Amino acid sequence: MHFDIQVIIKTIPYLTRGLLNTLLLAFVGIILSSVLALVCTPLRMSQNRFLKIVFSIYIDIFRNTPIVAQIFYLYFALPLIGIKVSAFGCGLIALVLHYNAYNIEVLRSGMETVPMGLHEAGMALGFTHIQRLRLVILPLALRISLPALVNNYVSLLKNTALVSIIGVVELTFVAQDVIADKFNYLEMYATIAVVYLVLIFGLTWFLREVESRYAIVT
Amino acid sequence: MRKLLVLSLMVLITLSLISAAAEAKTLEEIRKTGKIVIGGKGDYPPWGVINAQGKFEGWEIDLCNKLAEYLFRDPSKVEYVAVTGGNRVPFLNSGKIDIIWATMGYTEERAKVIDFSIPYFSSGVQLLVKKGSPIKSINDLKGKTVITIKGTTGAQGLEKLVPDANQIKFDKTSEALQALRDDRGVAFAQDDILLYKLVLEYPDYTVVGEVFNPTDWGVGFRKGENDIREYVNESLRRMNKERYLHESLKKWWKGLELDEYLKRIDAMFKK
Repeated sequence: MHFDIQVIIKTIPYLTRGLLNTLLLAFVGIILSSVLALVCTPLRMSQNRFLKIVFSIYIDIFRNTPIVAQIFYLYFALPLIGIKVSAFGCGLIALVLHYNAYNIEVLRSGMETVPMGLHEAGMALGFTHIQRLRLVILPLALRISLPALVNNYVSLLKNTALVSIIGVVELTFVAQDVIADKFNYLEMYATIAVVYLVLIFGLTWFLREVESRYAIVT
Repeated sequence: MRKLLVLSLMVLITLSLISAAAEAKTLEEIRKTGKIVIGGKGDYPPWGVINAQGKFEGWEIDLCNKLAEYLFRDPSKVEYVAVTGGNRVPFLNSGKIDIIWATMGYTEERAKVIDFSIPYFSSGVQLLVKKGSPIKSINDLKGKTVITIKGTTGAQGLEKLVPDANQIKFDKTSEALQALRDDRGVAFAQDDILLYKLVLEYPDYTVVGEVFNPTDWGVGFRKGENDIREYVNESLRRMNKERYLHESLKKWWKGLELDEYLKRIDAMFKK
């Protein structure tokens, strides 16, 4: 078996289409799951029993079931009760909900490491609960949690591949589709492996820069 | 520079991992192991399907068992591996299975990477639509969304004949059907005889359009394993002579007009 570079060149337009969808899924997924987590974490940690129960059920469901099952569920089961979302939408929603659950837990542990004294200092300055969260606790918790969040982001980027099972034309789908016709699995899987590698190197490099700029110097 | 080195090393490792090809097998080796490992369909009634007891059954499974009977004097000496249209050739070439017997049509692309037996069946592609659908022929598919299965003659034929139809591709028949039910596409392009079977089960659907991309079905082998291929060819001729092909087909297609297909089979073996 030889490595046929010609096949890869021929599929570049199709691969590009897949790459754009992968990038879009990862980018929007990372942004939405992070913003959502920033809102959800304080709610999960609130004293309200109802909110506490709701969020712990949500996190248990989404962290303890395979993301593949969630994607299939959104795509194939929800239309039975009249909710029909496009394949791309289903994939994105599944990624966001899944990684939001992870991000909440990461941010929660970050928030718990912020010393009690800072809460009290905020109170002493007359800040409201929201102000304390926004100005004191969350900025610190975010910096503490960043390394763990980066893990989640890398995982999200890689798991965009799972969205291929409902026919979203992203990188892995393109590779599988071309392979199903032409059987050049050596070339296609090597190509997408390299593309994923480059994407993830880029992402982690960028986030390391962010990390070093905002790191807490102790 | 060091980063580049590490990167290229990783690529090399990836390459070597996925290029580990299987060693060629001989008929004698299969005889010695006492069983033959066959990649069959597990979701494609009545050709090959996994029944409620978790057992494989269907027309092709009957033929596989017959082959085992010829080979080992025991029809149960088959180990089945469920394969899909997309993974059967990689499964064969990586040595997970000995032969493919999974509704596989002859195409030039496939013949480049595997060998085929003589044909034992022939089918074409038609469209499954909801009853009352405005889609009457493949010409109505221009600019519409059509459901297909990756790597099938349906997907490939449509790509050539109606390139401006938008295809959503799945791995399994069950997924494609659910997508059609949810109106995610206007039609499902697949082998005509499977569609006829589905219509028997789901009377809300109907088969329309002219037959396109007709293909002969064959058993698949790794390149160069000629003794196994010759044995299967001989077995197929024998099944034809003993009318086993026909009787089993009739058994699995109860309620369907089969004369056309039986004629196709007879014509194939006369060649």
